[in-house]
Amino acid sequence: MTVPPLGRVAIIGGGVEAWMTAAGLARATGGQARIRVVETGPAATGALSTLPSLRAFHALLGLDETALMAATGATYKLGSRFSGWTPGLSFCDAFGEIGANLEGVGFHHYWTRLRQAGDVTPLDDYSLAAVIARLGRFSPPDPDPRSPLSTLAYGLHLDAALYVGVLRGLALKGGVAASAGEVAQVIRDSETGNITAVALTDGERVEAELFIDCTGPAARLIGDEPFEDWSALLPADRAVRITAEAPRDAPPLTEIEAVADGWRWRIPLRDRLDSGLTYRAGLTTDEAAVKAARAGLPGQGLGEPQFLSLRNGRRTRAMVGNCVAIGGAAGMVEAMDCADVHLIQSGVSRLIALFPRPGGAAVAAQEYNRLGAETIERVRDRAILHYRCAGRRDGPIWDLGREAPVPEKLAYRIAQFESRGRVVMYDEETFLEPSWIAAFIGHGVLPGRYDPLVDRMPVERIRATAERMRAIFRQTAERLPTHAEALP
Amino acid sequence: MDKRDLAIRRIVIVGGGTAGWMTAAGLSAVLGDSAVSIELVESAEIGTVGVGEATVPHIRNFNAKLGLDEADFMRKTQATYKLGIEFRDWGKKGESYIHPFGAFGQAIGGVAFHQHWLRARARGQADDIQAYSLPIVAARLNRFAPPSSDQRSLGSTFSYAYQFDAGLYAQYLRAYSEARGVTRTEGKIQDVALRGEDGFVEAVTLESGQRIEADLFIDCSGFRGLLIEQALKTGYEDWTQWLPCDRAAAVPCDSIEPPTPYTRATSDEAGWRWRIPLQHRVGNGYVYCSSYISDDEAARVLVSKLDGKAQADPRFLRFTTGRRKKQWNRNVVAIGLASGFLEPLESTSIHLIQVAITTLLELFPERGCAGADQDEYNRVMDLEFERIRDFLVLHYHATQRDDSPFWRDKAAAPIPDSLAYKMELFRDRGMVVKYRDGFFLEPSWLAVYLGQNILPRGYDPMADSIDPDEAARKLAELKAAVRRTAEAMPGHQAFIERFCGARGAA
Repeated sequence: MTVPPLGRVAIIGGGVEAWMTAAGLARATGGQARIRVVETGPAATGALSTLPSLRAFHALLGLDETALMAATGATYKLGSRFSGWTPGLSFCDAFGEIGANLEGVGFHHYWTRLRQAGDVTPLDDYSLAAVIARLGRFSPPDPDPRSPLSTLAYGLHLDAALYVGVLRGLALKGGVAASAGEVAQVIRDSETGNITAVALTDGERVEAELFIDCTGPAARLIGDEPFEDWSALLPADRAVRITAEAPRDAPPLTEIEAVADGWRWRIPLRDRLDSGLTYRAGLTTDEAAVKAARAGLPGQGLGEPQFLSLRNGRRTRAMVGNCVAIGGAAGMVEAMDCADVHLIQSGVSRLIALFPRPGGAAVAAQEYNRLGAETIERVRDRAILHYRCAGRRDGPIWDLGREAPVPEKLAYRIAQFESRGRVVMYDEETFLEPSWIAAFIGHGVLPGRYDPLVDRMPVERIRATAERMRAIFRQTAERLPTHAEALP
Repeated sequence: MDKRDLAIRRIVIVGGGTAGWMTAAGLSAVLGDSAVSIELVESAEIGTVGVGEATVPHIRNFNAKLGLDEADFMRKTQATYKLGIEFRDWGKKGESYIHPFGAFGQAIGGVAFHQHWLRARARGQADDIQAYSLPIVAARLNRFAPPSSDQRSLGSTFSYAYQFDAGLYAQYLRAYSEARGVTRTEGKIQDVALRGEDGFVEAVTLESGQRIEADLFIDCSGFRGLLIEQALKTGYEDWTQWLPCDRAAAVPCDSIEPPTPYTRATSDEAGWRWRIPLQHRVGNGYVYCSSYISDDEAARVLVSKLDGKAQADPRFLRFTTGRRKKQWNRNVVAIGLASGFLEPLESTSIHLIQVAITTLLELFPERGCAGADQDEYNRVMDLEFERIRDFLVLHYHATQRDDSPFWRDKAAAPIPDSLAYKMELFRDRGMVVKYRDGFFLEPSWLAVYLGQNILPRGYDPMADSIDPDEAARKLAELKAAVRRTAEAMPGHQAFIERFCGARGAA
C-alpha cells in the first residue's frame, strides 16, 4: 500500500482524547492521511463538563449539536458554582459578560465603588448567565446584538462514554480505522530516536509516520520524556467518582463544592448525576473519601465508587520527534475549572496547525511545546488561585494549598487585581476576562482601589444604573424556559 | 482618609507638538467633565519634530474616541488616505512590495490563504502574492474607497490610515483640547523641583519665574526627556546594535502628481528615505547611520531624489534608537520621543503615542501613583516597543542588498533572539508567530517576509487536504475579483476632492 500525502498516523488509546484527536485529524486532513486508532487502556467513564470553546470544535467536525446532545444524555452548562471554598461565600463562574462597561470602564470597577460605599450586592447578580442559571433556566445566545441574551455562551455536560461513541462513529465514517490492542513494545530508530512502529501483544506491528500518545497518565509512548511535577503547587492527587440519581430540575451548572477533605464536583446529566471528591491520598483514606463524596447525595449514590489517580504536572515536551502526547499523557491539572476537555481540544488544534512536515525543522515542535506549556500553565495558575484564596481551615489539604508557592505570572496577576482591579491577560489564555473577575471577587479578592475614572459618575447614578441592570437581568431570566424544558 | 484627597487634581503636560497635543486631547476627551485640570506648557521657541506624518489604521479609533469629524479633520490637516507602505529596493535593488492594511485572501478549508498560495506557487499556479490583496492593487492603481460595511464582501477586507501634516494635526488637537478646558501656557522650563520625601516632581519653573505644580506630569518634551531623564535620571536602553540609524534629514517638496494612497520607504546606501504625499506637498526624509554617510552627503542625496522643488533647507534630527528604562517613573509618564525612539519605517511613532495615552487612561492613577499601576503600564509599553523593534529589524535583516558597506554590515549583524525564532518558524513552514499584546498581525509579517524574498522551505501540510486544482481556481478567482473591485474604486485624488479637499473649502 502506498503512503498517502500526509502519511500514516497511529493514535494509541481509546478514551476521549484519542477519539477527539482521531475525529479532528480525519476532518482536517480530508482523507490525505491514513489514521489508525489502537484502542487500549481504560474506557472513558463519568461525565465531562466543558467550556463554550468546545462548540467551535464541534462546528469544525460538522457535528449537529441537537443530535449530539440527544445521543450523549447531555445537559446545558452556563457556568460553575463554587461553594464552601471560604465559609459563607459562594459564587458562579458563569459564561458571558459581567455587567456592562460604562463610559469605557469595566463594570467591576463600578461594583467595587458601590461595595466601598456599603452595598453588598453579590457580583453574580450582575452576571446574566449566573442569574439565569441560579433560577434553573436556560437560553442560548440571542443573535440580535441589542438583546442582553446576546452576551451569553454555553458549554455542555456530556456522558464521556457516549461522547466517545459519537466521535468514534464520526471518525470511522471519515475513514479512520480502529481495532483493540495492547502495546507490547515501542520500537525506535536507533539513530533518530523516532518511533518506527508499535508492536502489539498479538504480534502486529503498527507502523506510522506520526504516533499520538493518548494513553493518559500511563504515557506508554512518551513516558521516557521528563515530567514536570506540580504536586508542590497543587495538593490533590486522587479522586473518587460516585454516580447518583438524576436530581430533578438541576440548574445548568457544574457544582464545585469544597469540603474538609478536598473539593466535590456534581455534573448533572439527563439520566444521572456524576459526582465525586478530589483529595490527597496522604491526608484522606479512600474510605473517608467515599464517605465525604457520598455526603449529601440523594440515596447515597448508585453503584461502586471508582478511584482515579491524579498527577498535576506536565510533560516537559509534548511533541518529541514523531511522537505527540495529547490529554493526560501530556499533562494534567485537577479539574475544578473544567478545562480538561479544553486542554485536549487545544492540543488537537495545535497539532492541526503545526502538523509535522516531512523534512520539517525542529522549530515546529518547539512552537507546539511552547504554546502547549503556556496553555496548561495558565490553567494551572487558575487552579492554584482557588487554593490560594480558599478560607477553609478545617482540613490539612487547605493549609497545603494556601501555603504553596505561587508562580510569578499568577502572583503578578493577583497583585494587579488586588491593587486596582486590573485583569492581566497573557498569551494562550483558556479563561476569559469575566471568568477571572468572577473568580477573584468570588473568592473575596477585592480591588483595593477602583479605576478613578469611575468617579466621573455620581454614586447615585451608578447605583441607579446598577439597579436597572439587575432588574433587566432578573426579568429577562424569569421569562426563559426552565433548563429541562430547554433541552432538545 | 477621604477619597477625594487621593484623586489627581492637576495634570501638567510638558511640551506641545504631536505627542503633547494628542495627550491633551485624549485626556481631556475622557476627563473633560471631571474635576481634573489639564495644563500644557510649551515654548514657541522650541521646534517640534513632527516626523510622524504617516499613520496606521488605529489612528481612526483615536479620532473616533475624540469624536472628530473625518472630513473636517482631513481638510484641516491636508490629509490623504493611506492603504499601506511601499517598500522599494528592500529585497533586491529594483524590487518593490507594499505592506498593506488588510489581509491576503481568506482561509480555504480552515487553512490560511498564504499556505495555499505557497503550494500553488510551488506548482507554478500562482502570481505574486501582492495580486491577491485589494488594498495593494488599489494602491498601485492610485485608487481609494472606504471599506465596505458588508462583512461578506471583498470590499470589507482592508482598513486605511492617513498621511497628514503632523504640525497641523497638533494645531487641530490644540483647538479641540482648549475647547475642553485644557489651558496652554507659553514658556520655557528652567527648573524642575523634586519633592524631598519621595522624589516625585513637585513643580516646574518657567524662565518667567512662574512655578507650576501638578500631581501628575506627562513628559512630551521630546528626545531630551526634560523630566523623565534630566530630572528623574530614569535611564535609557540603547538598541542601536539592532537598529543603527541615528540621524535623519527632512525636507518638504512640491507635489508634481496626484498624491498616492500610500507612503513610500526606499532603501538607500546608508539607510532609507521616506516619501509621504499630502494634499498640498510631499514630506521627505532620509534616515541614515552617521558612521556611513555625512550629514552633507545625506542632505544632497535626499534633495537629489525629490519629486518637485524643495520647499526649505533640509532639517537634521539626531536620535538614539531605544526606549526609556521606565516609561512611567514616579509621577512622570513619558509619551512620544521622550519615551523612546523607533525609526518611522512602519509609521509607528504616532501609534506609540496613541497606545501610551490609551494605556495611561486604563491605568489612570491616584495621586500616589501606585507602583502596581506603573509596573503594568511599563509592562504593556515594553511589549509594544519590543514587538515593533523586532518587526523593524526584520526589514534590515531580510535584505539581499550588498552594494554598500552599510548593507553588508547590516546583513551580518545579530538580531534579537525573539526575531530569530519567528523567522525560523516562517522559513520552515510559513507560520507567523501570534501574540496577544503588541502591534503587527499576520498580514504585516507576511507582507515583509514574502516581499523581501524570505520564502518558506515548505508549507502547512494541511493545505494538501484541499484539492490543488480547486485551490488554484479559488486563487485565480480571488485575483480577478481583487482587480475588478480595485478598478471600480474612484481615483484617490478624486475621492479626496469630493470628500475632504483642503483647496477651495478651507
